[in-house]
Amino acid sequence: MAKISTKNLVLAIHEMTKDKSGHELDVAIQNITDYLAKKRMIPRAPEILRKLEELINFDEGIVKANITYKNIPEKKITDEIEEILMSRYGAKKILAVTNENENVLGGVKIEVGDEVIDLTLKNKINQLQNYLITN
Amino acid sequence: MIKNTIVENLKRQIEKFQADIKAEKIGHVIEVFDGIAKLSGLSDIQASEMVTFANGEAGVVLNLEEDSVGVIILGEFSKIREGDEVRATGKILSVPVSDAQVSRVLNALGEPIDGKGAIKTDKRNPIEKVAPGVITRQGVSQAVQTGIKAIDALIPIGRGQRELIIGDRQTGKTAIAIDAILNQKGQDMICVYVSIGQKDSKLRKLQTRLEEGGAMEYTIIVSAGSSESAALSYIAPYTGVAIAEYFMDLGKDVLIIYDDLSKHAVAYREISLLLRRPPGREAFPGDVFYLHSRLLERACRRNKEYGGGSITALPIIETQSGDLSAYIPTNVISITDGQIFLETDLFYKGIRPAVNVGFSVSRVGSAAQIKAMKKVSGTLKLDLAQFRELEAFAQFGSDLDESTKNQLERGKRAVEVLKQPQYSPVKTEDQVVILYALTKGHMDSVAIDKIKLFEEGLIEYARKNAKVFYKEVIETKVFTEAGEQELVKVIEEFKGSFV
Repeated sequence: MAKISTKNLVLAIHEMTKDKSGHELDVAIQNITDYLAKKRMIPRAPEILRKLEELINFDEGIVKANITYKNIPEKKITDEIEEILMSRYGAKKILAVTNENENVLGGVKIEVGDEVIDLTLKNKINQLQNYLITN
Repeated sequence: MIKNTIVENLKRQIEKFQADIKAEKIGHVIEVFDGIAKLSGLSDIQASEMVTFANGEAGVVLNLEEDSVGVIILGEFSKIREGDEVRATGKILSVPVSDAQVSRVLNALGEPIDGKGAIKTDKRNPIEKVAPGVITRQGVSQAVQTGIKAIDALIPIGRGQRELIIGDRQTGKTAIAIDAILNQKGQDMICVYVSIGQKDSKLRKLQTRLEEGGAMEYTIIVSAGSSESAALSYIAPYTGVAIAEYFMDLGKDVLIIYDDLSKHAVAYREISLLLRRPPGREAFPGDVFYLHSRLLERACRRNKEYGGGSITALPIIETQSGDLSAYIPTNVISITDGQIFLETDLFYKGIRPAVNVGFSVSRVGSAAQIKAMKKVSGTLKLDLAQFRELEAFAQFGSDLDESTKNQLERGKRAVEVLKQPQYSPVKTEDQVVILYALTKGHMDSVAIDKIKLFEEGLIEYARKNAKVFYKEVIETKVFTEAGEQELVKVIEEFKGSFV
């Protein structure tokens, strides 16, 4: 029998639960848990939950972004960055996770899914180093 | 003064520099094991695309799965850690190609490993390329002279042909390939020797032999040693053919030897099993046929409008206890245009090269064989086959008629003539003389143990005295009646003086 992929499982769970609430939702969740236990898929639960979260976010137009600064700038700038990201990804809302990292030296690094926009000083210096070596 | 110049130069370079700002797709290492990495992310990656790891190592994408990407690591994998960032390069794996690679020893990535310095070139060829189409091709019509009598006479190879060399271990497969390379001196041929999973000591010995024979002047060695990862063994033949294609595109003829494709298939099996691809027959993955067919299909002869170059491929396959019906041998036999089958029994009987003439065949080579050779070797294969049959039959009876006895004697002499020591290729025109003497019965009265001596003496004598014959064969590749008469006279004269 073919292996059930996490993606297919997540799609099924999402379909089962998206329009339900209250007791109906509780029953659906119980059934899903029983199914995962029966099929010995409980160890895959963290991955399933992560993918489910991504799918729900996608459905609701929420984009999760990891934004790294050397020092978190004032709110005006972070709001501006979020607005740019909303228009770039066509999102209704940006779920920004901001981090501070001294190693970036300055600028900002934005990670959305597997896409990275690296505007940090560290990256520019690395590029300059490569440029000077190769030219 | 110098300080100022450096500062000025640096300033100028920095002024010209513009940082590249773009959104990049990146991935992260999920797991690393035995030269394989599984990555998350990299949603836009293509198959066979190169990736770079955080520590600078390169990798090639082989598996595109729903949630992950399977990559083979082309280098040291012990320093790659889980969670490391991986970037896609947007480029299919390519290797540097250049005229300067001739006479060098390269690794599977096309970088020199012979300690003679770096090779500067801007040109790169992708290692995976679709084979030339039908329109660009031409039939095989020009011979590759290997200098081995048994091959040039009975299993001729043409430029653009793919001829498999197959046999058990220690039967002289590599020796045939090396002799073929040694004999290309002055024949306007570039040779590429791809060593897959061979011992470094064997490779060094081979390189020394080629250097001694002056063959490194037109040879490139591509090596993925037995101590290197399976990934490098897997890409080495493709690197070799990418380099060969560079020369073919320049209109040159190239001879490429893959030594050997059994080890290549084993390396690919290892990678495939690690990538969890479903195993099939002998645990090889389902696409092992395509692995070799796409490689060997790149050997061809281009027509004049497309440069007229050619790649002749001599893949080598090692069999286990002479089993030709194993998976990889049958695959490669069906892909190639013929095979040279070497047998352990013949080897230990002292018949070297141990070519089994009955099992060996060249499907297209006869079109490339020169007319002079065709004329003298036409019946040789049949004679030898009949001899083998009679030889077995003669063991049971002592009373044989005259014609059978004669056939047996002729056969014994033919076997003796086709014996040839390693690293001593014979020129085509000399081969024609010897085979003429054999097939026309001039050697019938020579004692079997004197055949070698007779052969050597005859070549020397004929070179001096059969000038018309030699001139005709060298220049027109065929001999006339006048030339033939001269040769007969010379053979008879020599026989008279031969003690």
